[in-house]
Amino acid sequence: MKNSGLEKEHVVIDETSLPEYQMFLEAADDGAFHSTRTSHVAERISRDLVSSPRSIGIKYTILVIVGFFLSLLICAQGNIGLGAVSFKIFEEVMSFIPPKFCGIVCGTIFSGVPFFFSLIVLNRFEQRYLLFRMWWLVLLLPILGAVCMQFYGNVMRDADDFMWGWASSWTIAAVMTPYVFETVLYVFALKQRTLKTSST
Amino acid sequence: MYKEVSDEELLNLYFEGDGRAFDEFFKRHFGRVLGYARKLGLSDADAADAAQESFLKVHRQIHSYERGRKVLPWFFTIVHNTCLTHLRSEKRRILRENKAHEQRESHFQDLKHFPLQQGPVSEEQENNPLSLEDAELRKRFEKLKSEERTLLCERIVEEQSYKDISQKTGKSEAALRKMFQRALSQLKGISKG
Repeated sequence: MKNSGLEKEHVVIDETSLPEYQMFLEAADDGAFHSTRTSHVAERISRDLVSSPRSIGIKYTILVIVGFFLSLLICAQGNIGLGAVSFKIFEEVMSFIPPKFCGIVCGTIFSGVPFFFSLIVLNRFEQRYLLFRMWWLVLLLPILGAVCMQFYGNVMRDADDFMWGWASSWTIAAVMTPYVFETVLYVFALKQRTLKTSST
Repeated sequence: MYKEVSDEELLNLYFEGDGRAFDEFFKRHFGRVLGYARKLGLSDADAADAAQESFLKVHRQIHSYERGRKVLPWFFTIVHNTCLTHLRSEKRRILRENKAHEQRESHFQDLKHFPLQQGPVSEEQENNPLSLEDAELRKRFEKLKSEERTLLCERIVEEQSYKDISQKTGKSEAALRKMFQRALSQLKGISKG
């Protein structure tokens, strides 16, 4: 019974390597030699990984907020923009795209910039950790961002020229864009493949 | 926290970026890799290097680790190949060192048979300034410290780089360059004189 279990485990080991594999299974460190460099390798690898959910959560939140502000530098969202260039781009876009579609473009820029910004800063392990373990944060931040923008742009500033068409299409685009991008990222770069086993 | 978790689940968690899962995997298997590398015949230092390199390779290859794959055979393949690479490079290094040693020995043997200028200069030697110079050169060469002689052989005859010699001797490249220049100028003194 034990043998068959071992054979099953050895399924990917070349038969000629079986003695070495057995040696590997039985090998153990006798503690005679310990290198200080050992811990350096572990530390080096650990630096790429996530040691605390809180720290990666804070890091991601900051990145997304910075990304939101960066998007306001590129294109003004409604009446909110940073710098004259962003308003100029906003007006240019508005001049040749109908308001509904303009809302989609602006919303996509608003949430797309933080996505790409975090894509540049975070490594693959951090992105996976966020998507697999802290997916709620990835879902929540675009909603919060969109709500804050709408609240500040239309309520706080008491805008008279509130455009429902523009606002609704903008909100949908701002919330959906990161979900779409994250899904694409998951499928093409982050997903863990499953071993295909033959039935024979 | 992860002590009860299987290796397969640990690697799945590691794939997801969990640092604690990696720590547990490292703790669980580092000794095994080190022991295996030593059993294959690597020295303590090389075994430690191979073990570290194995974990670095796992780190690079974890992105292609498939859910459901048995960890130990997969990990073994990485460790085994890494150890073999180290064994091969160690073998090459030993062969290279032996060859260099043999070459050095033969050069010293050649120098031994070099005609030494002893006693009064013969008429033939007086007529042949080159042989006089060679003898003087030989004398000057012998006056050099043994490490200077070795360095000259390694640099001029074997054409080794300062980097290689530095790795072998443990001396800095700058110190070697200085020593080489000093030895060379001592030898060149003959032409000035």
